Amino acid sequence: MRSSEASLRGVQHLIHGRVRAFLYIAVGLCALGLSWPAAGAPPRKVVANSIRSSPLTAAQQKWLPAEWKPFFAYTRVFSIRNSKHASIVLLVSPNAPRYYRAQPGNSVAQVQLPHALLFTPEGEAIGSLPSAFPDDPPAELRVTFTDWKADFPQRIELFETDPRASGNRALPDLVWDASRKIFVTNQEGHHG
Amino acid sequence: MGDPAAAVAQLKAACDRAYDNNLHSCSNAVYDLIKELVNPGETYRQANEFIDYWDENWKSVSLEEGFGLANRGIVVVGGLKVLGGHGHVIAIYPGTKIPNGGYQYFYKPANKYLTLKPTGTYPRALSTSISTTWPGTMSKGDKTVWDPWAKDEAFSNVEFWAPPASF
Repeated sequence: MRSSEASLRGVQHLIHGRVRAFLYIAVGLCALGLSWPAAGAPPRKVVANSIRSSPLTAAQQKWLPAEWKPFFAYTRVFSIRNSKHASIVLLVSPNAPRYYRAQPGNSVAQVQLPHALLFTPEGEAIGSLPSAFPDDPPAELRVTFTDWKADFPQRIELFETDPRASGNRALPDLVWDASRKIFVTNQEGHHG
Repeated sequence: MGDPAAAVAQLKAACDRAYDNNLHSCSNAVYDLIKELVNPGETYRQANEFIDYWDENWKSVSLEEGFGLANRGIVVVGGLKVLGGHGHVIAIYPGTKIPNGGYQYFYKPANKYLTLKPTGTYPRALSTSISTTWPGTMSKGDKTVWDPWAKDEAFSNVEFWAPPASF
């Protein structure tokens, strides 16, 4: 009898604990729900550097100029997805770490890597980046797709981390030119 | 200016002293050089401020003109501002032009040393830096004016100036 009372108390304690936890979560969600509309929805930003990449497919190889051929094996594709998780932009770039790791010896001559290109998932070219992505040694580029309208990014922010004298700095944004269906350089840039 | 060879030797010696005494500050190295050979009462400025000052008060010269002047013993400075940053300033070190690049740096993501291949010849540089992570910023005449920036696109924005009294 005592043991059944104890187990009943244990179950009640567990239920109370879960109810309490549920209430905390519900209150938290309500608080978030009340604060977001007041401040506006958080702007959608997709940082390409945090996306997992995939190898270049045989079909995608045909999209690229001849000078990319030596880098096909080291080229990666980053799929930029909209809020419905549909792929809308492909960022295609030779991957510097993979390329240099594959070269023999501890000391390697630096090569000029092709600059990253932007494509639609169907293979139409819609722009280029000012360097390879994410690294064009010794610099590293952070690429952020932002200003989403109709589930498509209107702006690409670029920030270069560079040990050379130019230093770490924001590069001019790329903005979507809807009439030409291409991302073009916004010379005014931004200072982030 | 008297004996050109003596003036060049004087500029070279002043560049060497400026380098040795200011390994971690580009603006202090150039400041020392200007104080010694141009204006003993020069005001110290940081790199971006020096560039603004030269732009308004010194004579802008092309790289080729600067190379010729430095080899007559005249102080020629150069630099590029970084908005929101420190910028970088250098001086042309007298002597023959030498190939850019040719040095190694460690590229951690690949765990390899990469060697920057020469792409041309440029005047030599006096250059020091607070950050020693890029070998091209450290030059006592052994690297070129291109090497601190080490990228044609960036170097094309670097400007050079000489004191107005030199003309």
